[in-house]
Amino acid sequence: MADKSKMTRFSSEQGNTIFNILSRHYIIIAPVEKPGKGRFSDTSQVLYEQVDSFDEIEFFKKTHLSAKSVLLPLRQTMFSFRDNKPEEIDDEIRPMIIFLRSCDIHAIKVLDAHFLNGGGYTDFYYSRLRQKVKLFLIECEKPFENCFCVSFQTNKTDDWAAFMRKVKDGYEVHVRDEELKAYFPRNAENVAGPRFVEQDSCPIKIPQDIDASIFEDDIWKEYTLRCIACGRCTVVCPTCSCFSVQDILPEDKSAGERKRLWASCMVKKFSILAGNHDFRIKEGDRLRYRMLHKIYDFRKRQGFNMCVGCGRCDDVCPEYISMFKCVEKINHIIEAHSING
Amino acid sequence: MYNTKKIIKNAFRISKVRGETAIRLRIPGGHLEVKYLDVIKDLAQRFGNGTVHLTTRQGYEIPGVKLSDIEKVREFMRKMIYEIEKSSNVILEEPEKGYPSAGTRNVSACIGNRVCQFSNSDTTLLAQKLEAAIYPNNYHLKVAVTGCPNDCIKAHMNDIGIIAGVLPEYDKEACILCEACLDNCKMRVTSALRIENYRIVRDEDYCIKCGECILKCPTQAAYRGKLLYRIIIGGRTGKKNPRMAGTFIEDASEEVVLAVCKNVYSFISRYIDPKPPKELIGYIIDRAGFDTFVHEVIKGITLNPEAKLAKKLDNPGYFYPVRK
Ligand code: SF4
Ligand code: SF4
Repeated sequence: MADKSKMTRFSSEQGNTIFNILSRHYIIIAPVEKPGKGRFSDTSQVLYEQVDSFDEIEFFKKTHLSAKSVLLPLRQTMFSFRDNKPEEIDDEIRPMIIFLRSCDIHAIKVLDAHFLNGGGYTDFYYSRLRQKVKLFLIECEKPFENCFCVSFQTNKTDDWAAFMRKVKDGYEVHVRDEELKAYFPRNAENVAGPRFVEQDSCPIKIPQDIDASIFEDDIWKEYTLRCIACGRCTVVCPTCSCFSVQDILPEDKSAGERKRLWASCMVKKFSILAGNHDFRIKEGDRLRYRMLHKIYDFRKRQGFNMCVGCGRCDDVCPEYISMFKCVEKINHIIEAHSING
Repeated sequence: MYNTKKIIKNAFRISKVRGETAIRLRIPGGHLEVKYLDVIKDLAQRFGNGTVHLTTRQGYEIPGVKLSDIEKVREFMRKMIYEIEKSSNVILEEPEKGYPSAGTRNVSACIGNRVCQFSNSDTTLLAQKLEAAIYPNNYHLKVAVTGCPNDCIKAHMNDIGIIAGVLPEYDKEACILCEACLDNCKMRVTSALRIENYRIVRDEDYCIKCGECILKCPTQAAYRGKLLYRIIIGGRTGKKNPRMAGTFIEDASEEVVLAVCKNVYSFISRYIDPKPPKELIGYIIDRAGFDTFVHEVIKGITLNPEAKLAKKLDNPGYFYPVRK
């Protein structure tokens, strides 16, 4: 896959010129580290944001939040209405470049499965953004804490328009996309193509067959005692994509907007139905629902796992609840069942 | 034989055991490199009785020292106290003579954001900056810094207390209306938040800038804005009228905090009654009046735009009944 002869190297300075021209045509979104913007005082946060230079990009740290908000904004206006008549919002959508690691590119594949062909429908709002996106691969030299991408087979990818690496005083790039080639110099050099993580620090087996008897296991009761239903795990997850729809009206109700807002299966009111009937109240039940969707239910439909093993939920959970540990526990239950018949 | 006044000013205590003293070591901000523990241990074993007392102001007090050994103790701790004070940017001119004053007590601090999730600032660092602003000084003053209104250091029981707060900023476009901030503010704080037309509205009159909403928001739609301090004054224990400190300035910047603490000393020197030993600032304010205090203390200070001065001082507490 790594095609050595096609790699190109350029300096930080050249990079500025390239960036300036590129950014005339593309919005460039990449990981950046924001000092002082962490949850706790005097801490930083690594997140996705539009950047103004290659040098601003944080190539070496895992982002706390994923890039899903680019394709699925936290609050997205679907249409507005005035005097009961809908009006389409016709924002001009500019082409975008997103810098992503292999697992996060796989996560986009999951979002695509949800929104481009979920139940035979194409989601208009997602697809008009998605069409405009080109993916730039960034590599992981070694797995980060809590990563288990190799176990979920998301450690490698071929699905990228360009690959970029930060080196001393500059960058190395391999461009495959025809449109993008014109922006980069052509001084081909013999440098290594993208390196992928080959070994998880802690490999895990993905359970294959799970039957409903697992619903009754005590592990979920234990999670009810531990989980505080804060929803951070779903917010940081690159593949969680539930939303709710709200009509937002001004005081006089003359004109308004219909918006969709991120939702989370972990927080209160998610499963509330008409008549205030809530069918998943206990935290452990919510966690089971999320967990099984990530490693089992989605795969039954789509043929691949929803979890991409980025470990962000493990990184963020204030109660130290771990996806990884939960999969391990599920494996133990299944083993015990098969031994005991 | 011994000049007790001088000894006390030098941070030694006059013990109940005749001929004995105890040395009180300052640890500004209550955080110390462990290498000094070896020195403290040696000091206690060679000159004291082999024990050490952890003081309420986060210092170390070494008891059982002979008054006749004071000279040697000063020599033994010279390097250590010089270095510890220097890390707060206080340069002891004559470290061989020990501490130059003891009236202004060790500036103490809760553990702050070096460890605590709730803390809105590095309280130890601010305590050290305060040490540099006010020490050495003979006036009796207790200052404490705490990282959030939980006030784990009990700044409310100090002459001057500094409570770190944060202005919560809010990005409506990142809010998913999970209501985590709202539920928590209602349960734990002042219920300063409400929902209006699908966004969170914060009521300035009720928000105490504790930062809880920021800690709870899963999307960080609520995020950290400016670091602002509440300065409270006049807290104390004692045998006449124990009482809690009350708000003097709300939402002060760090510069204002440092400047105010410095100015407090000129107020004290002008209005202190020299008769009772070490008259506390609360009593001085009672006598001189809050308006005079405000006038004197904010003299020459440009307040940051957010800062709000209290109109009157509220120091809840009680008086021991005095027999007429
Ligand atoms: S698993 Fe952890 S992050 Fe997720 S809702 Fe529960 S406590 Fe929050
Ligand atoms: S916690 Fe955050 S996302 Fe939830 S309602 Fe409050 S501001 Fe909005």
